[in-house]
Amino acid sequence: MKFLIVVQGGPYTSQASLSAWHFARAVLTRGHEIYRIFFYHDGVYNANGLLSPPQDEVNLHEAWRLLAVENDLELVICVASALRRGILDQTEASRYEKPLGNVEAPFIISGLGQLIDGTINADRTMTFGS
Amino acid sequence: MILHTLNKSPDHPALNRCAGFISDGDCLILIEDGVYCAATNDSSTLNNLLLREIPVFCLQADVEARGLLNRLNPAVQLIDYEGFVTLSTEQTKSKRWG
Amino acid sequence: MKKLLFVQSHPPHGSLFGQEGLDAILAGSAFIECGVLFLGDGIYQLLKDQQTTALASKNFSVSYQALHDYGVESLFCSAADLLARNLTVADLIVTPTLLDATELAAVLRDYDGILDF
Repeated sequence: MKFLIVVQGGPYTSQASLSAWHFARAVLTRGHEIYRIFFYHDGVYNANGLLSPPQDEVNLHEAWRLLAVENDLELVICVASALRRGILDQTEASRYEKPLGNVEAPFIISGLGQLIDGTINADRTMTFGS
Repeated sequence: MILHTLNKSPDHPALNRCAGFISDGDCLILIEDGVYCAATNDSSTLNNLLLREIPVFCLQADVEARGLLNRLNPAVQLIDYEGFVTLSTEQTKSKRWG
Repeated sequence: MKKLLFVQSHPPHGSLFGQEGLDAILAGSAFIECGVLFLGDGIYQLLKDQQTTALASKNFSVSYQALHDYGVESLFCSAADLLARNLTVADLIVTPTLLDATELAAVLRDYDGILDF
């Protein structure tokens, strides 16, 4: 079965990101497919590569990155949610004349169409929010 | 049939609101702070769901982290994340409350 | 999937859930039949006469009037939620269908997928 996982909560603000990450791992362990993980609302903060939590706490950005790289997942962040929260890849940073971007692959900035496409084409949608 | 997920303690109106939307054949999973809903003495809302034979689950990692392992309503079933995934495949869609 | 239900549960301005939820509804309407359910304080998004100038917040609620042009015709709310908030449909910028508890549960069952905000 194909899953769309929607993450609406920011890391270290609510438990939503951590719950979604555990759920995503369990989806794969159970032999199902992750169609896409879509970060919306404060969920886009998960894409911030500058997250630097203390070493004895889970680094959610790194956790998502590893999960995606090891399993070839799409981590899509909503462009409108991201830009207004200062979450920009190098292309967007240059476009808006900012000194640096903080988003790199496997996180991809894209539009809300990716959320709708996911709900249409995945068999199940699971939303995690604050 | 709907998998209802609830992530707020009983102090929040989410539990009462969600209960009105749970139909026969649906099930409820309490996650994050939602697990506190299964730890109170006086949750008539939760008890009514159980009387209606609505399956109610608690995510074990959330229960353990909050020190609630021996404080839950015994009619509530503990499951892990893989069990959560299985529930979501058995129901046709999910609705988040919180 | 044939029909997608968006659920708006937050009042406007206190968070961005409403505004970003509406953005998702407008995006969804381009791809699929969409309905919107306003629950609890979410109904406050539709309250008339929101004056956001002093706050410097975006009055996104006026965009609900455009939903009809996007082909989103199915708007629902709870009659009890309106009553509890001392509101009538005359106080709202668009007119959702008022439903009782049984009808509300039926709306959730009727749609193929649900997106919560």
